[in-house]
Amino acid sequence: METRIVLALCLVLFSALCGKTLADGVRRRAATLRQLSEGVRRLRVHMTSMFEPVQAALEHADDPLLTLIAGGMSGGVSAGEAWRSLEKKSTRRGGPADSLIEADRQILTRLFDGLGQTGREEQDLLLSEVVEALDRQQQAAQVKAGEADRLYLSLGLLIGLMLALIVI
Amino acid sequence: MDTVDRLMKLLPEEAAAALATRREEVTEIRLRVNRPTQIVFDGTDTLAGAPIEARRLREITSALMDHSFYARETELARGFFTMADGSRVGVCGRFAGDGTRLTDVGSVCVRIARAVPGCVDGLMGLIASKDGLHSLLIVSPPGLGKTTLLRDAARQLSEGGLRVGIADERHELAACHMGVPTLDVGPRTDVADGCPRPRAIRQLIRTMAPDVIVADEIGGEADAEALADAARCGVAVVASAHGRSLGEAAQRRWIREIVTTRVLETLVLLGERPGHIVEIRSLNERSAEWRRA
Repeated sequence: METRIVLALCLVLFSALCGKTLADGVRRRAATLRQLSEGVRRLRVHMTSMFEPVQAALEHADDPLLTLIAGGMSGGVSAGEAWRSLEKKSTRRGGPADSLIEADRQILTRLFDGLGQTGREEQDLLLSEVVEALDRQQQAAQVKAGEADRLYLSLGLLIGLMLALIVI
Repeated sequence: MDTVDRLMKLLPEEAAAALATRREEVTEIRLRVNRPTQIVFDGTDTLAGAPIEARRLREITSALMDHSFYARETELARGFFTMADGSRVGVCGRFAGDGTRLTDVGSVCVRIARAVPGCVDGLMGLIASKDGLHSLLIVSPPGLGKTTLLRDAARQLSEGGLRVGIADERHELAACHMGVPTLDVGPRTDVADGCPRPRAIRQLIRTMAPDVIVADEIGGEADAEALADAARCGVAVVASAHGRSLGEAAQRRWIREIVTTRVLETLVLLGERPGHIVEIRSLNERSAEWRRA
């Protein structure tokens, strides 16, 4: 009986942890979007105030994804081309954009395709629109993260308890 | 990677191969929509490679600008931008608005910058002699090595112990990157990079106290006034200007002004081939005649 109780407790804990991991995934998206939005803000300063070339500005923006794209531009390709060739790598598990969803990636595609292609005013506009879009996504992700936190943790606990009852 | 290397990666295969075979002799590379690449050597040229499509030329231009149009916008309004190694890329096509906004690229002319150490040896005696420093103006048509001579003069004067100030409005003399020269302009040289020439000359005099001011492609009253100010401060001037002959140069009011106010002491005419000195005219005897005219 004691072994069963221990096993049941382990199941409850394991299920709760699984729920927390799922919730963390959603929370990580909000964190990534916030970090990215801050990176794009810094990128805007380096590009439109300091007039650094795109590659240098991306490097100085101090964001893992933007740094990755800067590295991809080394062969003389544009930011858009670098993003297309690195999109899979960056969204793969462990990549700097692995928690982002399709809608977030579309914003990034718009950003990288337009980066450096127009004059200062248009770049300023593009970057501020991207920051706004990322902030909107981040706020939505934040709300979702709160909900997911409660939902997945409760679900995990419930499933754990159900399994515990079955075991006992 | 210098400009020729970058172009070899961007051009059609055949043109890149033609460029690779004589890369040390190339002076210009000209690209035009729906035309083969024109590669210009000293006095000769060749047309190579498949015609370049409009879209491809736009991509090449963008790549030469490091895909950073906004950073080159001001330069492009004047029709050219300068590469990190000092090579100048002239861009032509359809302009919109007040004529400062390039919307479609039709042709591109890349002029390769090269340092030729020692190329100014023949003129150094005219600039620095036992009785001090002397001001000099190099006159020549485009593409005959004015900038290369000025760069070498700056380097030699600087290595000789003089403080040299370069007014490098077009980034061609020193090819500065983030304010630091990428070409050898000497150990005692300060560069005012990207600043309008008259302002750069005055700033250099005020802040760096140079012995010599070096300025490329001067032209107009504002430059003449700034150079006259330099002369009044006891600073020698080594400069260049466009022109086919010294007589033609002398017809320009601003040149007459700096001659008659004794800013300049020697005029040098380049011609026939890059770096070839056709005529040297001391202005001590001519200035009196010009002042009368």
